[in-house]
Amino acid sequence: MDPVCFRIGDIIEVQATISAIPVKGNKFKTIAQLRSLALIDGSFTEVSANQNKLNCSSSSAM
Amino acid sequence: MILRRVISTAKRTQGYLRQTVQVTGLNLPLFETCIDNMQHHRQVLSRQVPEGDMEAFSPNTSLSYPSIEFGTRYFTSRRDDPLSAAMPFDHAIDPKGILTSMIANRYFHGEDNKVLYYRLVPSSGNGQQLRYVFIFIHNGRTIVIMMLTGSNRWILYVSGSAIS
Repeated sequence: MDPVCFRIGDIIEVQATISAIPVKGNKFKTIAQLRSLALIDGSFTEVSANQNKLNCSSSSAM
Repeated sequence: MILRRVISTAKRTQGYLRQTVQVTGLNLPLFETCIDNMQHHRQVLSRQVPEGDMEAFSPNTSLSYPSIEFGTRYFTSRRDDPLSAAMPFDHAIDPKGILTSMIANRYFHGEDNKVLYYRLVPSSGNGQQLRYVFIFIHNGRTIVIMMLTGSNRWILYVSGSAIS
């Protein structure tokens, strides 16, 4: 699947690896490494985009 | 819910180029559980290093809701992982070959740098249940690995051996 399909507002599922990595000063940091991204539901984003389009067209008509 | 998706192509040190996604659960209980689990795993990991050497883990805040940023670097340093095989970039990730042109001796794109993308296809049988298994082979400087295998189930690996 092409990653450009994802949009802000989409409902997704993430698979991640929680790892500890060495950082400066002999310290360690916990990071969440992205492994996979699954698009579960993009309908909310589509409704929002359509609503914005309607709002824009109605305001431009006035 | 996705808050921000960044695929950075800025001219920076290539070892730091990465793709990230920031996710929030809008205060839903499942996401709170996810944050609690990450705090718990941070505690487990902190026992593998000298006391006080593990930095605190704190979730970000977006739209006044707790959020977590997940990220994966495009390249791995040969200093960190001298043995793993280099892999070509997927066409969907690097359609214009920009990342491929950045590959140099000190860095390579390997299995540890891959991110997989899926779309849920509802089936008529078992409802909307994602079923996939991810196998992660570690060869870098990371000391302990845990994997989320979906539906809030975690597997902990220490030195390559599954212990829970």
